[in-house]
Amino acid sequence: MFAMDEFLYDFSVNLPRVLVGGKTGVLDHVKKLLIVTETNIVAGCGSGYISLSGTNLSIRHLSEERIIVSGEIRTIELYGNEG
Amino acid sequence: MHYISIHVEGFEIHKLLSQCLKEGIELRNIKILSNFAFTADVRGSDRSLLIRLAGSRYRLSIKKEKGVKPLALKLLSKRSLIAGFLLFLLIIFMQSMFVSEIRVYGYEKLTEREILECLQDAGLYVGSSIRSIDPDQVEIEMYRSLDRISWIGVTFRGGLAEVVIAEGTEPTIQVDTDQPCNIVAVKEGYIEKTIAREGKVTVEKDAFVHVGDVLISGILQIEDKTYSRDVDSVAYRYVHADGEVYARTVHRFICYQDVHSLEKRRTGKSIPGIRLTLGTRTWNTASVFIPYETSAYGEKKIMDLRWPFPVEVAVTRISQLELYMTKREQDEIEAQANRQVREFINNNLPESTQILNKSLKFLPGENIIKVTAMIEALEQIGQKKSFIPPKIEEGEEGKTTLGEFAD
Repeated sequence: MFAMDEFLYDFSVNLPRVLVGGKTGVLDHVKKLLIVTETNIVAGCGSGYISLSGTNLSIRHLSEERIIVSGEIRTIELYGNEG
Repeated sequence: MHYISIHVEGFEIHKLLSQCLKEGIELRNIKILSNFAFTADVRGSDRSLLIRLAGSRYRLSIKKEKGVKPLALKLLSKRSLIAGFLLFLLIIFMQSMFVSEIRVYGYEKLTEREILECLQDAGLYVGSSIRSIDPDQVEIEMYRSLDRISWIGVTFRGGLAEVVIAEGTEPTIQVDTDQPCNIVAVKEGYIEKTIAREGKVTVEKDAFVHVGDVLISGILQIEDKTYSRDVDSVAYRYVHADGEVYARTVHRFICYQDVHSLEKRRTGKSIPGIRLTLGTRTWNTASVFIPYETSAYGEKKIMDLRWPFPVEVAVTRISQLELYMTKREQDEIEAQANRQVREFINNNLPESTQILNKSLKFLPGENIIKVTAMIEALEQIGQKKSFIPPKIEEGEEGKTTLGEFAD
């Protein structure tokens, strides 16, 4: 990864960022939630969307543009520009 | 921290969650119940803001409150619980003010019972107030009442009093090394071995000595008359005799044993009961009703509390017994006699004593057997005994001490 990419990755607060490991997923830069169900959570991050699909999904923690999702996460989808 | 569990119902719940994100309201454990309802935990401080955000679009209900503050309020609202807790603290405090247990360490010849009795006389006993006890004073009292102890330490750890004792050896009469002395016999016996480091051996091997006989003499006759004017005069040198004298001593010990032994057999009949002990008071069903002429008492503790109150509960059983007299076997009698002899040796002979021989003689009577034990032991019987050397009168002929000349 080049220095510019690193810079963008660290300081772009409008890019969707997701980290999934095991039964936990961490979504950063979340501006709003569009769909919240037990099987699907879609979050808007300014310049894109993150969609997590699975079963028994729940939001363990929600604060300061970050949500922590628990459950069986099967699919991660990223969508382009909002609107 | 103070958290509130809320239940929210309404259309488009994601919009409320988005608003919470925007306003910085922290939500935890969000569980989506359906498309129209969810539960979550919200901080107590964000409660009013969340209600305002929910407005009339969402139905918000509080399920329960979590955290230290509601727990404290809930506990404080129960007066009986507070009273019980305060009473519990008071009991703990009171318990720490009294001695609940005494442990004694380091005793050898003295028994624990003797020490505890002396401690009680000195003011330290189970139930006594710790504040009123001065450990130094207890130690001084113990030194006065027990001569054997050479050191004692009393420490308190809460309600536990720990007493550490170091027993001293029998006081021996010390003779100044500058003073002339003999080594005399303190016991009768046959001389086995003499090790004289200073002085002159006066007894031969296998000689019988009585108590007080001189074994190693501190009076030495000067043989060399080179510098003496009068060669016929007898000169003496007085020394501090030193050495060890081992002798075969004989100890006689008599003990008695029963000819018959009492054998107990259970008939199978028994009565259960219960024993309850509160502090020093005991209530036992077995002491109230015993239907059998001969019985055995057995119990099994089911509760034994020492703190905060000494309470003991035990299930008891009184079993009926039948007694039979049976004649004891010779092997059994001899084994018991040997045990008695060993006990006698432990109690009466010094640890350094070597047992050379032991014989047992059994004299059976009508119901009793007289056992006579003869023990031959090898032990050190010499002890220093000082004496005052005679003064040499001026002009006295024929006697002198070293460094003086008889004129």
